[in-house]
Amino acid sequence: MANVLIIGAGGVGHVVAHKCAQHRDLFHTICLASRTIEKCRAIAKGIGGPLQIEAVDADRSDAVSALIRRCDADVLINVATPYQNLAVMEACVQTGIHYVDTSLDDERDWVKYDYSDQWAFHPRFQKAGTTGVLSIGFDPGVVNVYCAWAQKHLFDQIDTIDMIDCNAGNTNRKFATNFDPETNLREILADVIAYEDGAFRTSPALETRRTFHFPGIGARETYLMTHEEVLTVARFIPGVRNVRFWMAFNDEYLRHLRVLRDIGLTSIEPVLHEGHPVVPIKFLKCLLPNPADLASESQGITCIGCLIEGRKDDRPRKVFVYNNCRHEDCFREVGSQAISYTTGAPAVLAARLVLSGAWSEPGVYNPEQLDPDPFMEEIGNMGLPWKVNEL
Amino acid sequence: MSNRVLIIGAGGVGRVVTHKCTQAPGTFGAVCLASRSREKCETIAQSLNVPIRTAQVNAESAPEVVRLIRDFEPVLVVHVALPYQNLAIMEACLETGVHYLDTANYESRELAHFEYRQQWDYHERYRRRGITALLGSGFDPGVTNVFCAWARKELFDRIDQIDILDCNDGDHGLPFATNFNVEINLREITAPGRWWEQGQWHTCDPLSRELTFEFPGIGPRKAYLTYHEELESLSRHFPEVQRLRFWMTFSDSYRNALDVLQNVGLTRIDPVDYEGRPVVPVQFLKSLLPDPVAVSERYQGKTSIGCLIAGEAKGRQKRVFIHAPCDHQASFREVGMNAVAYTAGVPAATGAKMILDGKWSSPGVFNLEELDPEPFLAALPEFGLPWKVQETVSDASAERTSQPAAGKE
Repeated sequence: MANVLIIGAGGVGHVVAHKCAQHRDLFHTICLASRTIEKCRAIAKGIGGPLQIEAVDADRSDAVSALIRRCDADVLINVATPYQNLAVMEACVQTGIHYVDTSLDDERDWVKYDYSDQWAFHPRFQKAGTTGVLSIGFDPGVVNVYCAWAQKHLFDQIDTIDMIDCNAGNTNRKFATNFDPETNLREILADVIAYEDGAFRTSPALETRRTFHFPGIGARETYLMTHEEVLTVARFIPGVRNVRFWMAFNDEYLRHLRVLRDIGLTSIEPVLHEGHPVVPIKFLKCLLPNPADLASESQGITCIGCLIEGRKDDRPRKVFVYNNCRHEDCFREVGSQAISYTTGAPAVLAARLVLSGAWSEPGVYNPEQLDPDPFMEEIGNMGLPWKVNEL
Repeated sequence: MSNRVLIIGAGGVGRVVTHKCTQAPGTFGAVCLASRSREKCETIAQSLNVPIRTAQVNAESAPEVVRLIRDFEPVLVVHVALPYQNLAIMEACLETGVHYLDTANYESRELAHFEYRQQWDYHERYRRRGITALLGSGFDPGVTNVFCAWARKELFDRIDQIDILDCNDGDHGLPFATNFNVEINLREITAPGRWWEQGQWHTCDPLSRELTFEFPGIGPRKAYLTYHEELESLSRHFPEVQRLRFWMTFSDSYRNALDVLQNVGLTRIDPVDYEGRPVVPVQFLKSLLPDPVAVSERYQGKTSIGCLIAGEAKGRQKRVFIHAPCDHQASFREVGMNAVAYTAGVPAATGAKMILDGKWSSPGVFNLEELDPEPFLAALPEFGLPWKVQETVSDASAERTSQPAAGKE
């Protein structure tokens, strides 16, 4: 029995809190904290059984440390915004508890796209005898584990990995983002970094297209995009030559996105308005629907997976390892849409594996560095069953 | 007494009017340019060859405008600031006994709606005070109203249909920019389309009716049915006309950008909370978009605005397009502003001349079609806008409706 502290009360925090509450055999006490305690209270209302709620400024590691001590946490699941990862990791290492997050840390005023600062915690976690699992949502996260599992069981040598992501769901809105608009628009519009022919290459956003067939959905046009798992999978899957991330966008979404970008509304540089600085992308966020509010009206399915090519027993092999998730099912189970669900559920499993000893090596790790088997055995029970198609 | 003129408003149109007034010293005496920002007035003053006075004024406050009028003692106030300020300035002119001229219909900040009623209500008081107010002395409204009056007087025995067509074929090379004040521009084109036909107003969804018109010197361009303020005054002063419409061209990319901005709520005029402070989306958009004055320099191409008028003359059907083409770069070279500001500012100076020369001296509040078109049209080319009459032009009734949403009001 252990105590868990969840930081972040957005859509993913909602799922993580629900999933932890479904596993009270392992999580003795659950504490949910956020900058805005009302958001925690709203989530707590929908959960059966006790849930402690707290207000915390996660940019301050001393405040997080104090909170960790107050709720006597053994593991912290960080699903707030990615700007706070380093402060939260610092608090975990100082208090000697395990750490789990779902996305690469970032800076508010520039795009970082580099794990160095989080990896730098490795020796300190080793010394503390605790484990940090980085970026264990769905993508990054589950897809990294898919790669490690394929490497272990399906291939002698992997050459190419195309991670593909399609949300074929609909809402009633003309334009809405799948998750936090600021984070989402920043990553979509960032210069693309892909690993090709054994080297990282940069290209402009939203220019390289490819059509993929998504099981359960059909053929969809996708765009090469920057995503953090490309950085780590290229590094940790031995001998891989190509690692790319592709996301499907429909034409309407892109039409809106391009206009907003061209006009400057996705900029993170403040603009002076009536004597006060206003950051365009933050202002845009005020206007766009809160993704959590779209949960009840989201319909349809998502498909995220890894298309992996390589050799096995001296013969070429190509497989697609993937998950389908239906928005309506997620809403029935935990009151969320599939994007939040597929991100939150893996983080809870990671916390469980860390606590149970399956992923207990001290240090800081990306998911593909850890043994994929216990994760692949359990992730179906956590709500995200997987399939392998031999191609 | 010299013909002193007070110009209020130091945006693009204010710049053009100030240049034009100071280019005609025979008509205009000393000029004072006033605005909320004196700095903007100074910038314009420095671009002139003759000295002018500048002043800071909050034009939404009638007492402040009265103080400025008493201090400078003009015979006429030319108001080219924002349409929110019309009533305060008209009130100040009435109190001080000074003529008034504007280029756009009064509008309240809170409601995207305009009508002449509140300004027309000043007619009796202006008449008794012995002063003249010219409403809408820009290009459209303004010159277009004079074209209609002239056509009725000189070309037609009976006018049946008037289609006002406004084409800005300029290209500024930017992804999105508006031609004049962003907020006013967006308010205008996001409103439902509205036209006058068979003695009634009709409405349709915003930008849902379009036609393609061959603009002289430009070529065929797609224009959308838009409500524009001169339709109100023309419907009143041309009761015999069966149908009155206004059409404006927008490029596909402009429409696309506008559609996206509407979908995400950036054209809203109600405030949203941004980090504890209220921010009005359309005003933030204004801060984000390039300043129309800055866009001016980049503009290439022409504008063409005119009236397509159909009716009967000497027992035969007749159709004419009366229009004035204007070139962005030529305008910019002359006064440092593009053709959109130029075509609004030149008629304001021309209207001011009509008042100062005593050609339009009836006391009261008037739209331009109520006055004698001849002296105005004679002076317009001298101020920089030659105009033309094109006979036997193609029919504008071949419009398409993209949504069958038209209905009577």
